[in-house]
Amino acid sequence: MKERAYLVRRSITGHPVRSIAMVLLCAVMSGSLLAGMILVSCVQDGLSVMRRRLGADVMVVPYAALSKKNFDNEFLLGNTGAFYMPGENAGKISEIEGVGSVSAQFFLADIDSELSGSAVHLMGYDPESDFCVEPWIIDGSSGTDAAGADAGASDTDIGGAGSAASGSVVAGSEIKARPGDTVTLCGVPVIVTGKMAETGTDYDTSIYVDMATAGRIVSQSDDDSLSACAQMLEDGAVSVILIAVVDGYDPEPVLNSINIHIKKVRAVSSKEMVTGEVSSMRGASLIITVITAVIWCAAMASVFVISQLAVSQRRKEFALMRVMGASRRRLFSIVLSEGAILSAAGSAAGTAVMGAALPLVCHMTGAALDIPVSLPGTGAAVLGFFLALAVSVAGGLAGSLAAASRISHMDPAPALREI
Amino acid sequence: MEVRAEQITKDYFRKHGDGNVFTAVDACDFLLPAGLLTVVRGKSGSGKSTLLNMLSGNLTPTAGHVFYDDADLYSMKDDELSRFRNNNIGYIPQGRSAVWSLTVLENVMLPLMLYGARDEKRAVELLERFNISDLKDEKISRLSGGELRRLSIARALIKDPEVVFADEPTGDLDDVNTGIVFEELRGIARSGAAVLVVTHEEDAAAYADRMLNMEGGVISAEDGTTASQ
Ligand SMILES: Nc1ncnc2c1ncn2[C@@H]1O[C@H](COP(=O)(O)OP(=O)(O)O)[C@@H](O)[C@H]1O
Ligand SMILES: [Mg+2]
Repeated sequence: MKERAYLVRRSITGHPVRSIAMVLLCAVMSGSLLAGMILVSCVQDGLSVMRRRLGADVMVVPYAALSKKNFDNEFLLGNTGAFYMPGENAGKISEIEGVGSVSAQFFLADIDSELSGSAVHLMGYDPESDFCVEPWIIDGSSGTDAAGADAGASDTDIGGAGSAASGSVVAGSEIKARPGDTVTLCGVPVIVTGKMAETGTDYDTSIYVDMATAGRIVSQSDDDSLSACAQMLEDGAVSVILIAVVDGYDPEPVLNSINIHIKKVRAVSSKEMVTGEVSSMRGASLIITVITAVIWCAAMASVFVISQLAVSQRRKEFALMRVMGASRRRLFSIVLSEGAILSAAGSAAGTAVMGAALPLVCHMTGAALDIPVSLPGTGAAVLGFFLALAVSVAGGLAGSLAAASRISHMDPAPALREI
Repeated sequence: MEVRAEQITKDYFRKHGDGNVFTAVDACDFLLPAGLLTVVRGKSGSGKSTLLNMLSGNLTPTAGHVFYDDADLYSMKDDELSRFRNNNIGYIPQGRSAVWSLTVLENVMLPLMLYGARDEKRAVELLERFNISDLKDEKISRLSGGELRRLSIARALIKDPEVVFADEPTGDLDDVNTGIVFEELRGIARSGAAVLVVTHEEDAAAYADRMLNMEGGVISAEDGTTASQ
């Protein structure tokens, strides 16, 4: 056994170019397979993230916001833009049959800040009625409980310069701040109370503050961009009203009666809004699947060709082994072992490298296809890892199997006379 | 051990020509006795290699039988036949033959290694006997034609076979090396093995214990006896 293993080893090291090619091809097979599987699952996870994000079944926005380009997409990602409607709408809506939870949000500004690489969306929300932000908080809290005692004080304390205390300030996952940190928003210091999980959406670059804190920021800041919304905020206007229907109710009739009874707004069903995004994500999944399949097939075909070349180049050597007394079976196992070692090594390398590069690849894919992606959990990643490994080892083995079977069935005598 | 062939025939199928069947060896009876160097001489294409391969268990005859003492070679299954070849037959192939990823020493041990064994002492002894022991760790590509041929003889002898076959063993050698090789082959026969050399060279007659001619797939003895005696 040791000696035969030695023969196999020498055969691998004695033909370095071919061996390396084989290893690389198997690495490409397993790497592309892993990347393809994980990416598709990233995209699909992104989809479910979006659906969860839409804990709201219906969203109500000012009619004017509808003219905004790409409205669905932007809004879905948590960015309503500077459009406002009267806050009383929320009260009116909650009286409509079938409406369960209602919570309004207020768009303050997109601000440039050192807290994030891209613009930070500053949103006002109502922690009391909120059911969309809260579920994402993984660290700290919305802050209402802790700040409850002096919440009233902060309302009146609008002019108190330097007071960063109280109120709820929830930072998205990409905002460089943790609960307890003091951050400066439009020149106004506030204390972060909660941190959200990664959602793969614009949530990640958003900061949600309660309406009182929003008021404090607007009044204390000398930022021009905020002055536009100061009056709106004071009047109790809101940018979006998020609605969850009562269990068992169909969002569609609820939405229709909102559109009929409330003026100058537009109610949209989450499902309807997701549709566009879903189809682009389906497209992305398809593209990724097709690319993976093409790479995989090309690598697989090359593995077959290289395996065949590897044995036909050495026909005479194998014929010699046969004549020296190696049985067909023995020759078969030598050739197959060689293929098994190379494809196992290549596949392991491919999955390892791709595994390390996955976070980057996921992000780049998300950016390139302009879709939200979120990294898979450990379980899914490990499963993908082993699946990719197993399938490409099997692929490499299939190539060697064909070659091993062909070479072990050759007639040694004619092969030996080939010069 | 004695090798006996009964009415062995080999037909090759050709894409062109009359009947598409070409008979390379035609119903030959043949005896290869132990202890003698038997030489079959014939022109190129007369069927010598085909005969040798059938006798050595590497080419299934279209018809007829090959016996090693009482064992019918081609009634064995591949595993059994392969093992039999490995244990009993030394084969010196035509031309340059070696496993190029192995060293000279390892090539000599190849018949052992195929079955998981190794005997460096014996291999070095053989390399010394054929004057190439200083090349034992070299790559095959560094060897001259004569050295490679001596290597194939050493390799054929690694398991002390009772039957040795050599196909044109001096084909690409000069006179000096030809002499060395034939002397060695005769030496092997002297030590009790049955040795068959097929060649197209005239000077083989000087070393042969028994000389046969082959022409058109048929063997005949020069002294009027038959090949099976
Ligand atoms: N595999 C084969 N297929 C068809 N014809 C063959 C094959 N092997 C040998 N022959 C033919 O059989 C004849 C005898 O070949 P061979 O035994 O190699 O002769 P020798 O060794 O005496 O030169 C030749 O004419 C050769 O062309
Ligand atoms: Mg020949």
